[in-house]
Amino acid sequence: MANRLQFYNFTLMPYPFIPPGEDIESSWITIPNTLFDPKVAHKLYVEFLEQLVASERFGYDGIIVNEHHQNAFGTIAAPNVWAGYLAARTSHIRIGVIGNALPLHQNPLRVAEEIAMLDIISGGRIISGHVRGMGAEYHSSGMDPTRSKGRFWEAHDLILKAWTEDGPFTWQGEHYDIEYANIWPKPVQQPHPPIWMPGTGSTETIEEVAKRRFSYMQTTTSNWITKKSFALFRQICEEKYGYSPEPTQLGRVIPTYVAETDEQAYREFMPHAMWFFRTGLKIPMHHLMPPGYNTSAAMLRTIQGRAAAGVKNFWEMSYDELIESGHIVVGSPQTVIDKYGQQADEFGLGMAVSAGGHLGAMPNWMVMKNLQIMAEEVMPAFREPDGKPDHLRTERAVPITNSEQAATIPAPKHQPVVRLADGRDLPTATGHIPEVLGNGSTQPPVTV
Amino acid sequence: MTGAAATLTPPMPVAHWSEPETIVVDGVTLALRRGGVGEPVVFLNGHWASRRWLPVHQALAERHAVIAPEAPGFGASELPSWIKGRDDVVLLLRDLLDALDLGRVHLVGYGLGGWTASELAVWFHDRVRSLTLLAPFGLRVPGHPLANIFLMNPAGFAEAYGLLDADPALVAGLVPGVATPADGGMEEWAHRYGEMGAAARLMWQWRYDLALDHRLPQLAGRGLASLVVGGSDDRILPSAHIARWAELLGATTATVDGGHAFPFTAPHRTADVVASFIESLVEVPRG
Repeated sequence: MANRLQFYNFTLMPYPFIPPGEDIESSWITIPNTLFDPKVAHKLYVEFLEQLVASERFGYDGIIVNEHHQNAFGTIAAPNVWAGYLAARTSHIRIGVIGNALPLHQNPLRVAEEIAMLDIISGGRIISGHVRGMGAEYHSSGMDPTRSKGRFWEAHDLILKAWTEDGPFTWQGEHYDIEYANIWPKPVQQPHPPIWMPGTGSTETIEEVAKRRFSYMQTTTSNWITKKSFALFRQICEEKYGYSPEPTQLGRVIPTYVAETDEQAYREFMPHAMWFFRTGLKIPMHHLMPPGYNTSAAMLRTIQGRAAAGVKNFWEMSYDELIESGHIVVGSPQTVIDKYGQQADEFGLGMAVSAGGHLGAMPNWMVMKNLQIMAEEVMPAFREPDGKPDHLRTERAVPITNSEQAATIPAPKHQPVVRLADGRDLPTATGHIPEVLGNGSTQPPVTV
Repeated sequence: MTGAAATLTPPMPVAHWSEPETIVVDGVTLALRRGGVGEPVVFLNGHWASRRWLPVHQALAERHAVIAPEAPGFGASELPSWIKGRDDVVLLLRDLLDALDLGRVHLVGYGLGGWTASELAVWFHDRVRSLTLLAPFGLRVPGHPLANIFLMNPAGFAEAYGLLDADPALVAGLVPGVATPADGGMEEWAHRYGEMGAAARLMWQWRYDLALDHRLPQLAGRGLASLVVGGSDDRILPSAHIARWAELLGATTATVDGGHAFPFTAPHRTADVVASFIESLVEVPRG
């Protein structure tokens, strides 16, 4: 029993109080942070986090944060911090960090450890997204874009090994040399938390994700590119790796706004969608693609493909073009149901990401309205008759209560003890009881 | 050859293009252009203006024997994945000198090529008869950072590099960065992206090498004759760098009118400064 489509609330947490895209070179790297007021951001962050927390009650399958640096488009610089907050404020909903930008971090084991910590404290609710980071972030971090791809895959492999294999082990790679890889803690989900990898449709990314049986998340693109990417993903899974992908291996970031009527939705969403595409995504090529981030051959294929398909820059598209091309979905519940249904049937969409929630510069009330109508009037059309998100039908990775823990989790092999002078091991759990301690001395035991 | 990022049939730029010779050194196909007779002068390119026998090459070749190899990843020179940094390029260049049977050479380098040239001199000083650096990258001069050649808005290229007032015939098709497909078409754009990636491999992290601060004076101590040439209005490499290089190398300095593009916008003046310096060191038969 599984739902036809999963719904994720993905919030970039933009800081929209900046000049219009036409007046700035870029919303990344060089936009001065004198425009950023932490007191304004306080209200924003609180609202963003409350929207994500509320998504559990609304019935979303998951809530998602991601990592971006030094820009106004998305101000979550440390997504694992927010995931920790969300884990504390929610109980059942899945929490995705989509993702940590692996090559930007000096030691990938830090990511492995943080995700493991989050996974344990959340009771096994973490989805771990692994990304390279936007090209712009190589300008703002000083990291070398020419090593980005190599570092990414090596970091990914190291993290996976650290999660799934016993430590300590030695890692001797091209980019990381770690004598003792031996993470404490390890994640609670077995063999490891689900892994998502976003992509814009590049064959190489799709191939790698299909090969590893992870989930592929298409970033904001047109219907045409999404359909093509998903078809390629399925084809590679089936023809090259001999399996049919699960619907939950195909996700898509599809900013959606739903309201009472088509007209109402169209009117309400317009300024926010346009801020997102025209200003939030104002990122010229010389910011987006630092040299070496891709190969020249890949860049040529991309630019030729874009030219052949007439793909415009985000900030060059009109509202109607964005709707027409399928970059965004906007409408009444029935319109959204129809469009999502069509994408599930025709594209194989299994996870709608940014399906409701915040976009651009939306006020809090509008986000909550979007979430509530999505939950109550769209989600049920894609759910089993019980209306539940899938995670409420699956067993948690760890017990919720101490009594369940005591009843179901075997005692650890080692109990903590203190070796006494007389050679006895005093159990710490009962060592304070006189009958147990007896005449035991805490002098160090005599070694022979 | 695995991981070769450069194609052997790069697009032909609109002006000054010439068919290169190719030579395989350490398994790497390198492209080079040659002209002139006399003292061997090896001219190392910077991060732009590849695939050309430029007026500055020609003017220099009228007085000496110029050998202009293309750095790995530039023009038709391959960039194997094992080339990770300038040290690999230095070793490759040393082996290129051997392959061409060039004993001691006058070494000239522009921008990034100046940095590589200086390191070749540091490690193989006995192969370097003299060192001429044209607006060389590679030093940290506090308060005077090198402009970010990887992040510059293409709309500002002409002004930043000093191309605005240049003779159009001299700078036709010269683009000092990735820019956009509007400059020369998609293949040309992708090729420049690859070349800037090759430059990034050598200097993204870091944009300077603090070790030069104590290595360059050693060269001066060994008596290496060196010349550092700057543009009079270089907005890419602040003039403080020229002074610092000269201080570390005990070098002579010279200035050529123009911006960072001065070897291209003032090729004859540049060639004259370089050739005259070389001639001041050696007996050159004139005729």
